[in-house]
Amino acid sequence: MSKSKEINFHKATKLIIKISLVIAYCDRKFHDSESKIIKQWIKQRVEELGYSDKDKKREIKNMYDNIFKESIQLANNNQLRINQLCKELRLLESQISQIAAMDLAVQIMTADNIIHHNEIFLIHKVSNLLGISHDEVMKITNLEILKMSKVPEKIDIERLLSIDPTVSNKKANKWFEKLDDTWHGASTSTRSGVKRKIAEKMYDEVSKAWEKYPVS
Amino acid sequence: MSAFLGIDLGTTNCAISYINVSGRPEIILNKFGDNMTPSCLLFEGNKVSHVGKEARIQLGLNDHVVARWKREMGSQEQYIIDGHSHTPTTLSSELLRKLFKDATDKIGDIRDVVITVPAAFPHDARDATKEAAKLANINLTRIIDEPTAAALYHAMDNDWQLNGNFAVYDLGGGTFDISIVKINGRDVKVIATNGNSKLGGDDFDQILQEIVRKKYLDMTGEELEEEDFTKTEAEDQKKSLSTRDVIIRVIKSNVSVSQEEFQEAIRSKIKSTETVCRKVIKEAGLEINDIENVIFVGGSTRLPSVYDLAKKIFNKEPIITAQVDEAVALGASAYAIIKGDQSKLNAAQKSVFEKIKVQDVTPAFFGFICTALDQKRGKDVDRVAIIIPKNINRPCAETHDFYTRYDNQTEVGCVVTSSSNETDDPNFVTNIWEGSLGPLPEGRPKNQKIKVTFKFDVDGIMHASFLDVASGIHKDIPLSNIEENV
Repeated sequence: MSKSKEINFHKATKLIIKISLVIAYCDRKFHDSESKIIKQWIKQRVEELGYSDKDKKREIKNMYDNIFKESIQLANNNQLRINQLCKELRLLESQISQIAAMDLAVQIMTADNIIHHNEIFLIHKVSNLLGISHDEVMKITNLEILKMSKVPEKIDIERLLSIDPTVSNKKANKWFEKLDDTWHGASTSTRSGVKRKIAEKMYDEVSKAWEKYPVS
Repeated sequence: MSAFLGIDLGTTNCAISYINVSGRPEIILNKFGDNMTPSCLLFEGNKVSHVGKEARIQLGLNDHVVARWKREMGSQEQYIIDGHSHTPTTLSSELLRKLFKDATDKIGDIRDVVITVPAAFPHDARDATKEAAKLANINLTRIIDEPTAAALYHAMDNDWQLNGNFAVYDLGGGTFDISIVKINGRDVKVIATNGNSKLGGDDFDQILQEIVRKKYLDMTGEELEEEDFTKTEAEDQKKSLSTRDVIIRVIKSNVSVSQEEFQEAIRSKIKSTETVCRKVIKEAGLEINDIENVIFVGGSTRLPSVYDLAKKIFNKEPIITAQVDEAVALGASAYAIIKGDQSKLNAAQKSVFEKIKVQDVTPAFFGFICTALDQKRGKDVDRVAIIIPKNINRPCAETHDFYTRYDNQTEVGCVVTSSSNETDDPNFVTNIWEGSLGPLPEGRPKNQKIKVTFKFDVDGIMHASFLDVASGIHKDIPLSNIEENV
């Protein structure tokens, strides 16, 4: 990686950590499960730089850990601004960093096996600000829901799809169709166990929610 | 005479049929003289003391009775009954043992047996069904998808004279399936199949139980126990609700439920079949207008809302035969002859079955896990490469080329996957075989060609083979437990 590329990589890391903390702090609490995911992500992120030198890796790891600590402070003091963070990330002009931010944000959302309204609202907000398509966000979201360790008790499918009065019936139906297909398929394609139970639950919830949007 | 048997192993009811001397599939009545046996077992200790009707009457009243385990087939679910542990597979084997005994008592020696499974049954549930047959000492010839069996029966039946594309809408006690089949004289070809393995009459019984519980609570302020209004009672009342309003006597009160109210309560469940119907027609590469008609199969198609929905989707009066409950079992025995040993058939049977042809298709998407660059993430990730798609004619074979990733790579990981829809994400599929090809020669650069071939042979057995082209080192695996049906 070139020097300038690496500097941008570090900048992106900082922004991605901060964005994920905005999602994590949307209930004003920072849960262990959320912290664990960010720490794990930092470890992987260091590896992605491709250094084999242990000292160099440690140095970068320390730098990222410090960013993490500082960002927690900022989040605690309510000083992180999602619009600003996403704008800065976009300025780096790296699709890879934007998708990485989205991936981590969605992982934070599903960390406690509950999908809160605020979290899903923020996920779609982040995706809009980063210019990530609805399809892509849903792909990431579906995967992380499937990976949860518990079947979600309640899930608001309309919010999950970010359907509000501005979304046309036609568009909503298209989104529902895709989501239905994913979970219908998963309910018979996955092996029995938590994954299949999650898929069945999702398929059922999607069917129920879809009913309100008649195909014209 | 050695007989060919078809067993419809249902969620709430089972039926068995055989091919009679004139070559017609015929239902074998159980020892009570009924054409169907409820899928209920009553245990005493570790032994089954009653099967069917007698066990069904006590469902919800006696905790030694077990029913509705079919939906859990393939899972690790444990049923503790009278201090003993059972699995869905062992329960199915107990039920099969009894059905098989009824059949041998009536018709003697049995040669080939076909058991039906829902088209939407996942891979592990299919394996569990085969395992149950093995445990019951049944020599299983094939399993067949329920709607396909029903289609086969209707194609055989001269009265209907079916020609063209048909949708078989099969809504039973526990599962919903829809198949698009092309029937041409006595040729049957499955074009596409889909379904929901967790939707059926059982859900409607539960909904009725909930309605009654809630009404009773509103009337009396008291909660109902399961034994006050059992699932069996709910099932019986639900049947009446297809033709009239009901007044249900619960303890000392009358609870009335109108037809309208009940149909409204199950509406979203019924409606969800519409999506699956539209999807399967799309998968078949057809339009609604290309479908000649829809054939009803399964007891739950008696619900008025199912009739209304099917009529709305297909713009036709659905075909409803007298064999709504039996068509699956009847078709299965016909399939037992088609795939079985025909050397012992009499002249009449031969003349019937000479003319019947069934085109088998692949039951799922089969893939191979490889590593590919995810451009959006800038890194290598595991991806499923589909080798054999769903619903293609069998026998068949497909080969794809892959390349080794590293210099001096001496082993290639091989994972065979199965999924009901087309997906490249390894999280959304089931791994049906995992192993490796190697050791391969040392010292070679990367990008060595590896050929991966999946094949379905004439016996319906799937094989996977992996070949290192340069060295000729290969591995062939018969995935015999994937032996599938139409």
